[in-house]
Amino acid sequence: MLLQQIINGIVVGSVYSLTAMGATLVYSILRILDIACAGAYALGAYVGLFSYVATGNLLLSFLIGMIAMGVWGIFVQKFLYLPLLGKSPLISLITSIGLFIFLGDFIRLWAGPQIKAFPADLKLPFSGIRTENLTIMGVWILVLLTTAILLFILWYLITKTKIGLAWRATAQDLEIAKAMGINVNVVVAFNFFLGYSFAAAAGIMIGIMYNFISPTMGDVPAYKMLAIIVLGGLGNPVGAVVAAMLIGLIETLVGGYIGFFLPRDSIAFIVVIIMLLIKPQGLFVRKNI
Amino acid sequence: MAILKVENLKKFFGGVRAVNGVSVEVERGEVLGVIGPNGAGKTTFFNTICGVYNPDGGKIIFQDKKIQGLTPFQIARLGIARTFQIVKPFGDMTVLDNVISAIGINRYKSIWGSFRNSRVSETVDKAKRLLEMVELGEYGKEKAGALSLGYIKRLEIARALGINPKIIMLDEPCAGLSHDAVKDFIQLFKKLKKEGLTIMMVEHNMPIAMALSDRMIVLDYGEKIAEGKPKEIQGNEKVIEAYLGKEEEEDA
Amino acid sequence: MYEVVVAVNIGIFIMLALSVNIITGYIGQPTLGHAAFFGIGAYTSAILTGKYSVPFLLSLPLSGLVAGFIGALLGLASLRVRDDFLAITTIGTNFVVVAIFQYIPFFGASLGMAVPSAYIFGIKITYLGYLFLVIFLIISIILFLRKLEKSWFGLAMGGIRNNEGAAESIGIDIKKFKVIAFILGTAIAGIAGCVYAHYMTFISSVDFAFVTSITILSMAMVGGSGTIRGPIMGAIVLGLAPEVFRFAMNYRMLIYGALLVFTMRFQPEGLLGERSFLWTNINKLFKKIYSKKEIESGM
Repeated sequence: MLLQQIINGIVVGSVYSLTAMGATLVYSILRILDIACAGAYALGAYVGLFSYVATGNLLLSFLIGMIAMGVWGIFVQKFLYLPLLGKSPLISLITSIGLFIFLGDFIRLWAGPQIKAFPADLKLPFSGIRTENLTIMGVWILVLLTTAILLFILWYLITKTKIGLAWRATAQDLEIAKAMGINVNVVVAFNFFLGYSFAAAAGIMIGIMYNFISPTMGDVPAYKMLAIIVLGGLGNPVGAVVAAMLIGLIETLVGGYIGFFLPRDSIAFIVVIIMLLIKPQGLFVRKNI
Repeated sequence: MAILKVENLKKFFGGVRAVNGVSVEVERGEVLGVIGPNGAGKTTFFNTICGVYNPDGGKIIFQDKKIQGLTPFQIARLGIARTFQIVKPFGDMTVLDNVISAIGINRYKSIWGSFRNSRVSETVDKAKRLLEMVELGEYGKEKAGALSLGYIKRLEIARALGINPKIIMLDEPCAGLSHDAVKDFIQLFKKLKKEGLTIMMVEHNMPIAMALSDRMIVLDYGEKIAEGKPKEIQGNEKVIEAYLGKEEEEDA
Repeated sequence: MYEVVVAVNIGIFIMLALSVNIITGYIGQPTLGHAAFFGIGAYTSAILTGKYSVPFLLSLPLSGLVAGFIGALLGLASLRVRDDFLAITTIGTNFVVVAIFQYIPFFGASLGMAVPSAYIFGIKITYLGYLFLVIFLIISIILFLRKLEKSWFGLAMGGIRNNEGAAESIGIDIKKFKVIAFILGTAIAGIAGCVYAHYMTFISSVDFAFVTSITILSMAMVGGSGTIRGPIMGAIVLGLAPEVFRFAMNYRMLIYGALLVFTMRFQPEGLLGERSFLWTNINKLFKKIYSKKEIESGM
């Protein structure tokens, strides 16, 4: 039973880590708390769904959804966030919240307020594993595998490539990176493309896993992801993944075993508040201080 | 009569001994220059005296009162004012308000007192006089953040004077200033000296430091390697070596 | 009659926007969960008058006190937790407070809580009565804020908002002023909550969720952070918008989101902020009219 819950928790945590990665990456470079990232999460799910209905190909749908949101990310940073750099953090926060509200309503007006689901004949590449003690659904394997692949790609890009090096320099100090001749605009665009495409992937996977998507599906993740990235140490991608897994596990275990008397979704915030009072810098201090 | 006595002051950051046992006495009314190569610990030394950092050892005695361990605002209230190497104006407030805010130093003590009107004529006049002194009289209504660097540095001095200090600590007052702005600063400095203020000054610009100081101390790697009148410092071998040695390091 | 209802609602928003502005606009601390204190005030009064028969005139200030007390705790937290971390802590506080109201039976849980009518000296307050009460409270708040702006406290807040290190160097005790600012902002929100509770005669946790916090904050920021006119204008504009744009009801949130984005992007100081397009032009207009009057009277 415990093992089952742990696996549940890891699956939930994996999706959280992809969703939170968008917000983490944005914070690493621009020091902005991007709530609108959850808009890409929701919108990406819809684009993925419509692509699947149109093409019948799951992989293609993933790619279309991710690329569409990646491009949207480039657009958002160029016209919204870059010009707001250096202003008070409240300003970018309100902007990002405004954008998130706009996106949510846009989805409602475009696709309708009802819940939508992936077609029942959705063919997953994996079937589940069922033993007497454990159930591992096929979609979970999809989630774990996709998360692993995407995080690996991220790790590779950031640590082993030239643009990754530029990214790391910009994350440490944007002004100095600029002064050293790094094309910061390209780095920021790259950053948002990655982050938003990951959020889209997470949205699509959630849609498949729980068999519904809705215009408000981004509401809870928007704020929960903030709690997670703070827990992981703002701007620390590794920390974000660990924090996401941690929250996923705690939510599942506490919900499953203890029957918490406060809603599941407030667990992340309670953990964060307690943690911040003990260690105001976050669990993992920013790697590059 | 020493107004400020620093005894064996120490400040460490992890393994780095930024200030490693520095002692000095500052006489009332004198100008003490603090110089040293880059990274010598001059600003850390200042920050520790002003309470921004808690010392890891040693004593700071101001007017016979031990002040090490006090918070910056408590030390300010005792009469130590300072300016900042990287300027910290109250950018969205007017130049006049920047100075008025300092004059109210005693008003901030009580919650009730702090609700009283700050724009009484006595205060405003004093602020205007201080701005005149630093030659910013016409800029009273401008937002502090809109001024150029040289003007902001002068504003910081006016603000620091606003708390009616017994000693004023200037942290690199000439950093980043143009040649003309430095000349203006020297004029202002002479005015300050005439008022009888005790002044401690960190300054990287050697000729300025030598010209304006009555006495100087030289820091290197957190330690005091020389002390004396400017002429004595000029010829001091250890000082020359410290600066030259640093140059060689930088060339390497 | 309907106009009175709308006016009271906007009046309550004005109080809330002015109160959050003390913390964000004056002393520069991010607080994204202000609706929590609105709620604490509302529930406090509901319980005091409902369960303990405390008269309204007494529960009004008590609601402020209770909200202010919890606000002091948040203020203390703000000393330990900085900037972005503080922002998220305030969001978290909002979620936790709402969850407490939503799940704990003492507060009526998800069914909410009925609130008894308010009586002043034995007379039940009517809709019009609430309007007068709200106007009275708003005027009191404005007078208080004007005094605050001109006082040493106001200068201290300005110093802290701009540069804490410099503020300390001129004798400002940052910790003390931050906590007091939080108390003032949250207490006023609590008082607004009390009025709201008795006016609506029914409250539930949903009224005080994070969405409401953002509404309040955006009113202050869209209107003009750090001023008195700003939050008032923001509350009126954002409060009236649903009424004025009734025909576009379906697009309400779309327009609201777009408004936030465009205002922050192009007028980050707020529509009536110091250097905003509107305010500088209004000033120019006044100067023109004033100098015309001078010329005319000189003739």
